[in-house]
Amino acid sequence: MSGVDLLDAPAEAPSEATVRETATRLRKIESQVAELSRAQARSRQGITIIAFSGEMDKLLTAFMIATAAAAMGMAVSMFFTFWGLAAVRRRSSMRGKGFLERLLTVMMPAGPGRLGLSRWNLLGLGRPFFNRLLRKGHVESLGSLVLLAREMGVRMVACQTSMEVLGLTREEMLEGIEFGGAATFLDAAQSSGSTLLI
Amino acid sequence: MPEVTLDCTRLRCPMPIVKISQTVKTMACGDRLRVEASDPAFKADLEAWVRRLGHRLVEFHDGPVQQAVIEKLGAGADEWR
Repeated sequence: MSGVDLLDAPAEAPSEATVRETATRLRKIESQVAELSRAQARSRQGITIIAFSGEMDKLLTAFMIATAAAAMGMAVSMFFTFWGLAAVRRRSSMRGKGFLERLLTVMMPAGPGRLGLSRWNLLGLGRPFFNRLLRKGHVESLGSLVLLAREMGVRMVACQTSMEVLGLTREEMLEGIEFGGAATFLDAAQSSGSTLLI
Repeated sequence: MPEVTLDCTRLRCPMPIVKISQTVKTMACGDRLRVEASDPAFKADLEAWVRRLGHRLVEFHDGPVQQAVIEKLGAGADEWR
């Protein structure tokens, strides 16, 4: 029965069953509205970061924002694809790899301490210089921010496809991270307020 | 009311607010946290953090070492997770 029908209907007291049914439907609608506004509030409080770049300075920025967001009480999801995977790589392993994968294993930096810079890299000479500047400024290193992020409950997902392209295996990655694909990222991005590609 | 102190001098962004959020989580509502920090961005970051989580900035003193007092209020945004 639509609203107009209700207006046109003769004014007689509704039956007890109608009142009860209406009350039940109203309660259901109220709980759905509450659930929706909770979901909306949650999405405003979340952030998703795609870490694509493999340079230390760029990944440092990604982890500074991730840990700050976690400190702000936000739900943080980080997705590591291609060169960004180096941030959550912990060791090299040759187990079960073919010639090409072995070559990639040697070429891909095995952890956050071995990454170059996006500027002033100077064939790798810039790295110790930049690290000294960071220490002098009391800025946390990338390696310690990665561990801090994990400790603070930042969700970290390594892209399985780019791992396979680069010949990386799960045993080479940081403990406690997840493995997923584009749908995993999109699901997280859709339920968060902002998404960054770094 | 109980007051906790936290030394964040020499720490750089984002560490002061990381330490503050970790400490505030262990405190009860109404408790106060006294923080000392030297990061030049500390005031801006602290104000944003307090606004986000619904706590209260009771005092702030500028200087080479900044001093702030925060009061923990009701269930903050860290509660919903």
